[in-house]
Amino acid sequence: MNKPSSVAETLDLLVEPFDNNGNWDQILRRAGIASPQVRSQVRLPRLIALAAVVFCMLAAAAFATGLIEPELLSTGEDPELPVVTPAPKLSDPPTQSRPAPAPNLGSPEMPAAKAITAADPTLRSILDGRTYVITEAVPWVNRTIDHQVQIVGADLTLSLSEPLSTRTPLPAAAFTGSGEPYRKIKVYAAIEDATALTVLVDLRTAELVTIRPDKAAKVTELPGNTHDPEGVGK
Amino acid sequence: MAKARGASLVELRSLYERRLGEFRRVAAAIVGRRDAAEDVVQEAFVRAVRARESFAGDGPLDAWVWRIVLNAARDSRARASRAVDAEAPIETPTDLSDGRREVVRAAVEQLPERQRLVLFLRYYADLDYRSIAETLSISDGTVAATLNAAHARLRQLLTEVTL
Repeated sequence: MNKPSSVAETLDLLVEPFDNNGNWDQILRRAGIASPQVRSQVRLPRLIALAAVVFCMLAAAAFATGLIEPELLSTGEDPELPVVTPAPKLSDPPTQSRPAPAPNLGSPEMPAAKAITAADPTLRSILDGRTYVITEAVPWVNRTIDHQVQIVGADLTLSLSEPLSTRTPLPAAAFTGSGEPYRKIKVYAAIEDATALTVLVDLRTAELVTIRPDKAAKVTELPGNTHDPEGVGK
Repeated sequence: MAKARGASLVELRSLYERRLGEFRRVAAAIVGRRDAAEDVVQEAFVRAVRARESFAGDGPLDAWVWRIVLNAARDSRARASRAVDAEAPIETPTDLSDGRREVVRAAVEQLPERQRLVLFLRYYADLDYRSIAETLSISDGTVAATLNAAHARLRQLLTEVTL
């Protein structure tokens, strides 16, 4: 038998090298965390649905306490909630009836979204010295009546340097379907153990519109949720 | 009491993607089965993700994750050992390379566990003495001495077999 010339060669004989092809998403699923790919597919519809639920909940509370007149809530037609719509999949084959694909976030959108996010005082206050890395960025788009797709802003996932627990009002957007793109509201909530935040940046108004903790965080709604009468989206 | 630094998912994913091949190789060496490596490393990273907030930050994240991988591999080895005791399968070498591999495996199996781990981390993971020391919570000097002893013992065992 030929003897290997070194310990390294001997050990190479025992276990040959492996490749680096792994499945991180499966690890996240087994650990109980939604994977970025899954989240990116459902992000905007879910965001819209959640915002609508929050809006309805707060509207119901305001209606019950007499803050909103009933006729202001009645439009007489089905609500057209998703004024903001997810980008179509770029892999879908184009058809005549299919809307135009959304443009990707690039220059100047991405640098602008980063700058707006970094400068936002509410986010800085919530982060309380934590740093973050943008781990996902998808366009926030608006589809016009002639199926053109325009970039409204950016939907960013910020992975935090340290888990975050706080009790603070969070900026949120209520999609009313009454002709306005969205209405800015505040949601009072207690957050526990958030490792990432999702933010919506409106590039038209240069504002950070919503801040939401990741799905793995525990979020408890606090008393005091009211409408913010200012800042209707343009 | 000092607050745990915690490890972010970004950091863990980066480590996973950069060093997956090395994690798998060390895991396969500890368990003694190549096909167990993927499951062991995945299980280790599931544990790491779940426990990421407990990472104290008083040492490198790499060393913390390596400890989790080593523990997952030891657990797998223990389970496999119990299964073998129950079923007692006997494999015979089928060709020359299998025969050599079995000789080396038998020699490595005779080393004390610390010597095996130091060897695997040095050669399969390409860790330096400092990183091995942090992973195994021993001093740099102990790493050097253990590695020398492992080399000497392995050469002796292989010489005895191949003479």
